[in-house]
Amino acid sequence: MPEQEAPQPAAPEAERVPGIEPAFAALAERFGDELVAARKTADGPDFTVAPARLADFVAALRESVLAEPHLFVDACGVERETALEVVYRFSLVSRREIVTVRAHMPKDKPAVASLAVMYPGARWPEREYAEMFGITVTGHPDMRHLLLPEGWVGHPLRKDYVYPLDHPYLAPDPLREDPVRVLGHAPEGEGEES
Amino acid sequence: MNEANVGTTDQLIVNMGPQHPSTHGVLRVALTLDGERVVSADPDIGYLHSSMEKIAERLDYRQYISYTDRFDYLGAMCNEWVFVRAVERLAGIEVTPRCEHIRLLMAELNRLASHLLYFGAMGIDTGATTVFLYCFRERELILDLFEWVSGQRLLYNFLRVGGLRNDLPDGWVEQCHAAMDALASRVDEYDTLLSENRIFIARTRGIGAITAEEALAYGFSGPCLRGCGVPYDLRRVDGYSLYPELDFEVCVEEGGDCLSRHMVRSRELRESIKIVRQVLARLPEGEVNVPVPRRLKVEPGEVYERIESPRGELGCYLVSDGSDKPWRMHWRAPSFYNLAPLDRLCRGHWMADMVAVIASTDIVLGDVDR
Amino acid sequence: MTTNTRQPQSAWALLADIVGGAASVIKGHVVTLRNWLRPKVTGQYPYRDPAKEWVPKPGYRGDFALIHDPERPGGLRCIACMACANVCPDKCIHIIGQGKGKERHPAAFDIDIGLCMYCWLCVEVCPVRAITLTPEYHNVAFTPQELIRDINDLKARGEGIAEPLLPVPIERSVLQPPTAKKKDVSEA
Ligand code: SF4
Ligand code: SF4
Repeated sequence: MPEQEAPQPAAPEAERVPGIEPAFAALAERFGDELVAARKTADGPDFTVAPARLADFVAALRESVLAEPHLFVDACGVERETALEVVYRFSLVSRREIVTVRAHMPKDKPAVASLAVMYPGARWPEREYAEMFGITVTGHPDMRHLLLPEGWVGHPLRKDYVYPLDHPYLAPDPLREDPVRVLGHAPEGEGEES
Repeated sequence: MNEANVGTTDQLIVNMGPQHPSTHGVLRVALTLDGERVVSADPDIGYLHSSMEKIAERLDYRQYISYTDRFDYLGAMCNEWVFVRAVERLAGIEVTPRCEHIRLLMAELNRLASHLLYFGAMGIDTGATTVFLYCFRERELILDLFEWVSGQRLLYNFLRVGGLRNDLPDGWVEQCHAAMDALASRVDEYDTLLSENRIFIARTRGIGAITAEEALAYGFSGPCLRGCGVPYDLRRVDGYSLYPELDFEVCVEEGGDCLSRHMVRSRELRESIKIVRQVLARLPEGEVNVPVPRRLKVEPGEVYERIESPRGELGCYLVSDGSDKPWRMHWRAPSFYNLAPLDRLCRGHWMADMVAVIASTDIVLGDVDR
Repeated sequence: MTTNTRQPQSAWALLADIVGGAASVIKGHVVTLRNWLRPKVTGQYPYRDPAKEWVPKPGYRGDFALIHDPERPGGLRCIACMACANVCPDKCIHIIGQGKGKERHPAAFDIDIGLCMYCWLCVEVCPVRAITLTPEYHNVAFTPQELIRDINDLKARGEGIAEPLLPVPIERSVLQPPTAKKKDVSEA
């Protein structure tokens, strides 16, 4: 297919502006400053709360937007420019509505209140983002490493993570060196490698 | 000897896996056994962890598509689909109707292939070897179709942002019809061999039961959740792509045990055949690709896109910072959440039932570990 | 805690269980018998007999080949633009280019197919459609070095291939059709 002009990208859906929409006034009253943002997106409500109140907030949601039967969908961490963020998602069973709850934490001492007691499905993802981002999860019953080996140092999904190339698992394979050099295919004199 | 201990056994910790043949990959479960009964089961995962999410941060959108095949390798088309859907939604790209039809067709064929493999694995894990061979014979029909259209049998790399690698070859539709006819006539045989077999029923009914409330809190999805009586099928709940226009039934079974999960998949085989036939009948002509720049850059933003994969809700969370690579990419892997309640499902059952429970959740360890 | 211990049952229920169980087993055997009479689909690999060899469909993504162009230096269509080496996610293509402008051609072209994941991206980005994957799937070797295809090997494999192999005409794929004049060399 011939190259053509790029189609104009649509405006991103999740404009990350703080502020509380009037529909969530009751929640705002109850949580005050600890509810940082609450807005409606095309997918459903999207809240940002203080990390220490995350579990309380979700418990409160279970009386309002999450009163119906809902599925615990997902929990994951994201590293933003200035903060770490954890994102929890819930989905209503009856119709398309995804409820997103976020919490922002400083990068140096991140800590968040665990949902693992309320939603046992959160146990594994919380263990995963804890080891991948170095986030302390308070109130979690079992904080061993999940995917990484025991005693692994560092948090691989952080942007400043440096691969421990001297680690025996990551040592380069001597058989996998540059084949041009290994086989002596470089012609004499001229030519440049990619 | 303590009076209370007379006639009882000591608890024993047994490692099941990581090389156990019925753990469907590399799963290690540390089992605490009281005699033959499971007291607790602690899955130890991560053996297949391949940093799928970190890899995404160093590859551009086009390069990453071939990686999406590789975590849930039994539902590769669905993985590609949800990824390109996420990128297209973020970049505001609309695909052509023919492309959308073919993508849906591929996803449903992939669901058939995956469920057929499930049937075989479930049979073999509960002691019925024959159905495994028959299912693989029929799965071959679908893999042949994939091989023809995409050039590979398992890791297709067929979908592109804004289109497909190529259109359907001439004669493919006819062969697909033939494969569906052959499959439809054989599905009843699997049920005779497995779902109606008394031994199989005795080994699965009441085993690994979970209530709907618990299943929802655990994040169960897909056939496992529908086996608990929750009609949660994203093809209907979200109604994405062309599914609202198609006629199919959401298969729900009460019970929440291994047998219900099995029966959901058994009925879904028939529903998927129905969907494939409908799509083949209404496949429009036309282009399959829309022009997309080679080095696609998307605006900063984020999107959570999800589809119903053979294993459940497959989500793709994509955060873009405006460059040609994702800033963060997260997979909501259905197997990860379907495996997590293993302890809850197995507690109190015989150790031999563990195998049936693991098989009935239909996990792919590549999907669990990502 | 759930258990699955069998409860004691009445003699009639036990009898019904035995009869029903036997019936389901017999029904299963009928299915097995029916399948026994169906044609055999199993194939053997490797077949010593080339006639029985499994032949993949055209467009199967197997081993590599470079497409010939007798009018160009080196006899290959490749212009050593490095697009494929740059796009390869595994960085398993190693090229050394020679010459300038129209004369540019690869002096060395190594593909480490032990690293390759057959994703087809290198074929897709090539501006002159000079590289292709072929249905050759006998890629067995004893050492990783044997899995490195060099330029002579790739050239020999390209014998008789005119365009990248696909199950459909090139116009119906993402490849740039031969009529497109604009060449995208900017990728490198
Ligand atoms: S097929 Fe993919 S992995 Fe293999 S050489 Fe080409 S771009 Fe690299
Ligand atoms: S992209 Fe094509 S022309 Fe460029 S170096 Fe690779 S094979 Fe040669």
